[in-house]
Amino acid sequence: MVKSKKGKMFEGIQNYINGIEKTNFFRAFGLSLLVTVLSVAVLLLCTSMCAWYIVRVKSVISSVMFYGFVFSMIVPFQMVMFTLSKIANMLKLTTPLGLVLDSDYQTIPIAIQYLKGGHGSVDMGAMMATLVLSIIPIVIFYMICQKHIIEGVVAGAVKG
Amino acid sequence: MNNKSMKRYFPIFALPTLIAFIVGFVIPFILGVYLSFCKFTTVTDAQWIGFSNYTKIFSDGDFLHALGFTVLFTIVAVITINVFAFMIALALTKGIKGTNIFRTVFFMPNLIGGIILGYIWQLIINGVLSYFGKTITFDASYGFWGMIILMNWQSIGYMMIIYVAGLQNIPGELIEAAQIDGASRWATLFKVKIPMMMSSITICTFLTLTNSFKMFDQNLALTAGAPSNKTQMLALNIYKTFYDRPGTEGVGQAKAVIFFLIVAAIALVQLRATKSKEVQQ
Repeated sequence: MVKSKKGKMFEGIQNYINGIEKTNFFRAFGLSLLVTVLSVAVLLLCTSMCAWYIVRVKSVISSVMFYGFVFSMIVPFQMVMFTLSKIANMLKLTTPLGLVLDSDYQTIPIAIQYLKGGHGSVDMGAMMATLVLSIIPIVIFYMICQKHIIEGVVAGAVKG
Repeated sequence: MNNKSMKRYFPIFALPTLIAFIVGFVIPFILGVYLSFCKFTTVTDAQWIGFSNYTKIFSDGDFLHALGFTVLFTIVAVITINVFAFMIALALTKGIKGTNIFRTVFFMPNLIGGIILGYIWQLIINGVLSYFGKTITFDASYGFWGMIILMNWQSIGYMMIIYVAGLQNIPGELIEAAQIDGASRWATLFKVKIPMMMSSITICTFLTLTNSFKMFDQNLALTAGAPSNKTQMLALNIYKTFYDRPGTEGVGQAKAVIFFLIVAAIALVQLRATKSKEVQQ
């Protein structure tokens, strides 16, 4: 914790160096980036096509899909979390060939969790530094695209 | 292209999403409902026990407390977030310089995810409270207000954007007409602007309502339910039921079903109530 700029606790850039080392930050960042770009690409492709179909084709299945999707927004995650984890297990998504949660392939949130050692010890300096580092990419992306992001929020919510 | 010929595009356009939806949501959901009537530890060893899980819920003190806490939290959150967001939106549509910068800055908190936000605010709040010799887990009300502050900080920007857009959609002639007729600023606000904003209000209320009621990440990161589960909200309670001790998974699933039913009921009631007040332009 920083007490004063010139106090004994001011670590300066050392926090960032520690944090980056302990979490292997740049690797975690690279993986987060990969996962994000791939998932967003697939997501955009599949959902926009499905949306086109729902809007342009008037059929029973269209309405069913639409109300099904709206329904899923209301259902709280806890409702499906247990059974989903069992299905993911069944589909072998939790082994190294599927989703990976441990050791070699950590994405940023997982890497940060590892800064919390056992018995509740937390490397505060490193944690704060890595939290700041993880927010920066998102903020930069937002700065670049903000006009479109806000247009999107509005288009989805307001009629006319 | 007519309807019939477009239908043949179904497999390539809609099917992938539909399959993912069925595997990732529909099946777990139906399975979940079925399991809520069973006693089980893994999905395959389920035994049907009827409503037994549901009756156990009502004797679970923590669950009932979490329910009350969550309801209270949601009411306070919905009111505070929407009132503040609306006020700021009003201020931002007066055409002061720098409106765009304000919009950008206000929206930013929404970008930061739940858990990170919770941890950061926990550090901040504990830091401030340490001057008084206390921490956020000292009393349930500290945790309560901590989460309200957090929720406000995160959601106001998003709702404000929606309200700003709604305000900008009100035809200028309407406001002018009201002023010519001699309406005061308050009257213009309540009798002209708000009725015209009803669709934005519907959406914002719906979003804050469901988000607050289902809140999990921030709850976990800020207080983790301390002290002694007094700041535990419903979602966290259900999560703990599943993963804290073996043997209570059936009850957990039953709680989840009840959770879902409550959220659905509230959402439907709210949508009906506000949609009926929407004024056609």
